[in-house]
Amino acid sequence: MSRRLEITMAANEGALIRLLGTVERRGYSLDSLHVERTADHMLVNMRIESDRDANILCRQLDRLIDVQSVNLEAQLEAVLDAAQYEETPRFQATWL
Amino acid sequence: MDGSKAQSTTTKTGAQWLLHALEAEGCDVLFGYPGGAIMPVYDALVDSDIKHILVRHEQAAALAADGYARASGKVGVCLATSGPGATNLLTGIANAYLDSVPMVAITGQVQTGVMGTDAFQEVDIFGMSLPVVKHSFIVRNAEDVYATVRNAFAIARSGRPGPVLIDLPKDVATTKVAASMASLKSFQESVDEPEGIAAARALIAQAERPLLYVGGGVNMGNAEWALRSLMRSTGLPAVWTLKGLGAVEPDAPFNLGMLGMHGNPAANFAVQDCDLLIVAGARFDDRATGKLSTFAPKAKVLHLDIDAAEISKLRNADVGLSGKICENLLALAQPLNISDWQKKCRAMKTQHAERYDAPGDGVFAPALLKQLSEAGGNKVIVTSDVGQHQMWVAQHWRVNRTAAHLSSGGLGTMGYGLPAAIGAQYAKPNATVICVSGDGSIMMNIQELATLKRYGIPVKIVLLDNSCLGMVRQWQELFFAERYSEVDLSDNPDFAVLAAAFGIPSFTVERRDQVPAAIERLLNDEGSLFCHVKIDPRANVWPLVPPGKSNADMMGCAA
Repeated sequence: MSRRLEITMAANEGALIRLLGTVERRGYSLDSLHVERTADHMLVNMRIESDRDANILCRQLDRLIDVQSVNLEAQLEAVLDAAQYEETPRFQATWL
Repeated sequence: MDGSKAQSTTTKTGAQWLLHALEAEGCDVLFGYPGGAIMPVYDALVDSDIKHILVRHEQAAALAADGYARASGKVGVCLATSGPGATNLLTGIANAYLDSVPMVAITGQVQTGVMGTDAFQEVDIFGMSLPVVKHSFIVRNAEDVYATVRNAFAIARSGRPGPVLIDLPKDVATTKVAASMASLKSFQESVDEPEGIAAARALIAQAERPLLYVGGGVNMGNAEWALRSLMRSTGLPAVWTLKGLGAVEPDAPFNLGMLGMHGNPAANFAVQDCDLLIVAGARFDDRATGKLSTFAPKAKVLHLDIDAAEISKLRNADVGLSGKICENLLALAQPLNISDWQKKCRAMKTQHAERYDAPGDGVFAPALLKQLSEAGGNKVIVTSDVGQHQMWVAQHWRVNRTAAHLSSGGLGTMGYGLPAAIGAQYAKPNATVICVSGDGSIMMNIQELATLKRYGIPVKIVLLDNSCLGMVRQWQELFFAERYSEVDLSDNPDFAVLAAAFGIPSFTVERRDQVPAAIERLLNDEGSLFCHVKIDPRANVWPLVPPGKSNADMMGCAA
């Protein structure tokens, strides 16, 4: 199932790679990623895909020292979003 | 944490600030190995009161720090240079990560100006260690050294403990600064809502066959006394994991033993039969659960763990409590009416009691371990390596506190035993520290015999030598149609001669009638001692739950 996560974290060295590494190592694949950096924070918006429960990933991300908050988008909204998402292909195979 | 506004006008190098921070944390011993990038720290060590133990391989430094931490309950510290020094630490860091051991690992790094240019002895240890650390830092300014080290200690021991890496570039270590202490952090432990406690109590009140499943988190949460108090007041039966060994009193009437792959049948059958599993600081590791979908099939789950990410990770919890385990265990106490269940557990325990009447006059390792632990009593700390002997220790060693049994549980690191014993001996100088090893494992860190000799560390080694990689051989016998592949070690060195070459007194035991005298020597000789014990190469560890099978399907046990 595809789910959207919003993460706020300290913009420390290695924080983003630690976050993304946790996502992949714990068995979730990344479908989309948007990162916005402010003076001392990072706002990460990601869509993940997995058979595993996204709530477990949230708790695994939440215990990272740099992470300040993790919000999992409500399941229903994510399903609706996923439907919209699929209408717009991510890769335009224009070379074919 | 201490004063967030504390200031100092003293000027020190980054390396000196590092040692100053270690002293402020009460660190009294470092395990390490010098090299190019870490030389400024070694230079500063000359003027420090902190004791440094020079190991002979960096892996042993990390494993010794692990052993020190487990035996003392404090943060263990290891030190190595950049590049190969740092990569050699990694196995020990991973070991601490998987067993939740508080550790600070400090690595030298090439100068900041050449980082990222493939400089001599440069590796990205920060990147390499990411999956196996609780947190990590690259210190890029000397002003940050002091606070970084203090924060690393706070992170390592807070909540669920774990290893923290500090990568220290050489130029940062040599720069002189007046350090700021302004950014020390504090970490709050989570507290459970009263509703959660009430729900947990209600689950227990409703249960007819409740069972405690005790893991390493009980000891790490200083909750052994709370667990024992709960068991005494309620009569709850308990099973335990490898890391939970010692948390339950060995003679407690409803101590059913270790569960899992090499667990006691009474423990495994009780788990299969219980209707409520009270998981205390354990994490449903596959070696404990066997086939997860068949584990405790009739049970609701009450999960107590300081790490909220463990709750419902592998098995859904009906109630989860992630506050302090000590307080939560005490809060569960209530009168229970479970006498039928207790009677059944007691009967299973009697039926499946371990037997030590093996035929023949060769050394029977389980009996040796039981006798040695009983003779040594509470003054002994045992460390084990990984393999058959490790499981025999878990099954037969009598131990009354978790911190007196150190074993590599999660990572299963062959070579853990001897360095961990060195660390444990520095943590508890008056203890009799015994390393039980195998002929495969001991060779993984045999060089540390030189460390025993150099510092006069009185660690005793009991090497159970079956001339093969016994656990792998056992699996090849049982699950690979006796196709033995690369397990023969019959050309081992003469271990007694090898130990003697390092200056460690040694002797060999080949027959059962030599065991009492060996135990006498091991417990009474003052210095280090190497006891080489030859055992039957065909001996297996029983019972055994085959990989992927239910814990109810034990080989080597009558149902």
